[in-house]
Amino acid sequence: MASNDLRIDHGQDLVLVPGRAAALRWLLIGALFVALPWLIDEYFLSQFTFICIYAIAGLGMMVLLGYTGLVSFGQAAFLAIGAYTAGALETAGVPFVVALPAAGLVAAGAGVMIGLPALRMTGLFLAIATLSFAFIVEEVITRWTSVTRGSLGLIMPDATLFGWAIDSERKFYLLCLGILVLCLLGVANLLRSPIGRAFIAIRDSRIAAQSMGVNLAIYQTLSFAIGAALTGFAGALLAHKLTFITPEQFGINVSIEMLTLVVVGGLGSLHGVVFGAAFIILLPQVIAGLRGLLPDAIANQTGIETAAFGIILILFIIVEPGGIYGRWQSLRRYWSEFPFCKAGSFKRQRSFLKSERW
Amino acid sequence: MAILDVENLSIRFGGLVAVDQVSFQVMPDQIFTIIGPNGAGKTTIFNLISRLYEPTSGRIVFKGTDITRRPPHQIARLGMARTFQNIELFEHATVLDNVLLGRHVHARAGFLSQLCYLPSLRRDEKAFREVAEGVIGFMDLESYRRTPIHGLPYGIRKNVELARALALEPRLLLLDEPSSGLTPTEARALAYRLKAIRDRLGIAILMVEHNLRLVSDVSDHVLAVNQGRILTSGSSDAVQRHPDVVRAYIGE
Ligand SMILES: Nc1ncnc2c1ncn2[C@@H]1O[C@H](COP(=O)(O)OP(=O)(O)OP(=O)(O)O)[C@@H](O)[C@H]1O
Ligand SMILES: [Mg+2]
Repeated sequence: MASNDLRIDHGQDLVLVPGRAAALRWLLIGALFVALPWLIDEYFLSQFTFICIYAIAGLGMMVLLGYTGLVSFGQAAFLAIGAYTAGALETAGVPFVVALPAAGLVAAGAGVMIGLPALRMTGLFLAIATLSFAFIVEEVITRWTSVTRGSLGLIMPDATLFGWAIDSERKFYLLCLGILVLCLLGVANLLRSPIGRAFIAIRDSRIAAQSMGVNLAIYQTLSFAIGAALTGFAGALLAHKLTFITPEQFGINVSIEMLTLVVVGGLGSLHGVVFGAAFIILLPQVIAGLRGLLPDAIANQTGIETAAFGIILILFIIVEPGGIYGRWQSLRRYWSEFPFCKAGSFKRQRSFLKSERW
Repeated sequence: MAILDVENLSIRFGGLVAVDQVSFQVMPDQIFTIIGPNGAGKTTIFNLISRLYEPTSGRIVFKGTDITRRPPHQIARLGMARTFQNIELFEHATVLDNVLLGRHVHARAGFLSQLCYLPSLRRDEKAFREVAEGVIGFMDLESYRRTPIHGLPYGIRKNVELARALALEPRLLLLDEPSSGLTPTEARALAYRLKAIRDRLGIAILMVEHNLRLVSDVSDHVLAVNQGRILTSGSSDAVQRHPDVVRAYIGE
């Protein structure tokens, strides 16, 4: 990090990965994930597939909440729209390569629909609006039986990629990994472009963003569209992963998971999306493992997982708003400066008082 | 011809007339300063001009265009940039990214070229950085380029906010109390920069300022307001000696 501080050319600012060392590191990490199917058994691989899918969905939430500062309690709806669009199209014989972008597009359309009326809303009102939207979508999917088969559920055919059937966990994992990488690259590109700076401007000061020429209506709607599209892609993949989808799989708890994902991972960081997704997928496993250690009275309670999610979400908001990624960074800084660190220099900065009037 | 022409501008908040029939003209080569005691309505005048507030009556003409009903984001596009009394920066972004947002109105690349970071966008981004670095140099912010805003000292933040406004390459700058919170040394640097902005960059400045020494040093024209109304206007010395102005300040 420190070695790249000096720039002698603007071109150096415009690369995604600064320097050889970082490129090599990414290459190694990439190679490890590509080799994963041959290193671990099918059950664990399946968990990594879920992590990829959740990371894609979480990326949508991150664009929206982490970078634009818009809260959504309705991500489950976009996930459902993606899943059912892919489901309905592929059942009708449309190939996966068409169904996947279509899932993203239809979800993006829904994102625009909720984004436009939500323009004048922030905070609590936006939370309520998106939540109601999710209920409406769940209801529509349940009732629209001619397309979705309602609560009978929809069976997903195997995905095919240009005639090549994705018929094993191994192939499907690699497919999800590839799509995750593409989505991450796309979002990283947007974030270092005018669009990303406009999002961050809206998040940090709507009033200054506006006065510097950012059209709030356009950029907030765009953020909703991108956030929804990504979650829609994830929905299509999730449908394939689950092979059988019903409306109940896209309830409010999924929206809460998405919210937990970005807060725990670390708001405003792309690494955080992956950390958060890993957390969401692995926590239930850990809880299941711990069940054996708990007294029976507690271990047999239903809803332990939901409670754990809630408690952890609250703890992170209070204790470590930077999320896992923020914690990781301050640890790194701590070790890199090790004997020379002042106590307190790693505490959170007290931010300046913000007033409503400007 | 005036770059900014404000005619009979008024705004009422409930029973309070915060700005009352205010008219003035700013010339393209001027540093035009508004002074007045606390609560006089100075910031409200700024918020009206940058279209954050809806005037009850009156007209605002900028560069010959009537902007009285334009949405706020279009004002920047026409070439007006501003700073805020309480500093409105993008706290979790770096100094460079804050300044780069000043180039937002000059961004041309479409969604796809941003998504794929195509060469056309790369060219734009390079050009944006050249302007941004120029401004960062002018504001002496080189060593903070990659520092996030939160955690920067107050004086530096003020400079970043001014740098962001300059990066837009505006024709008119609105500065709300640029010297508040600055040390005397920083205030002297500010006076130098304000004149450089006017003379070298050819940007007109409309500012609200409490530091009367700075006001006399840089202003071409001063307007005194109190309780939303204009008291007097003219040269800095004449306005500061005007009996109504003296009374408004002492009478508080
Ligand atoms: N949004 C608002 N709603 C209600 N009243 C307002 C609003 N904005 C400003 N006012 C009132 O208008 C009057 C003028 O306020 P303004 O902020 O313009 O004063 P100012 O001249 O900038 O003062 P200062 O030197 O303290 O910054 C004050 O009485 C203030 O309370
Ligand atoms: Mg004020």
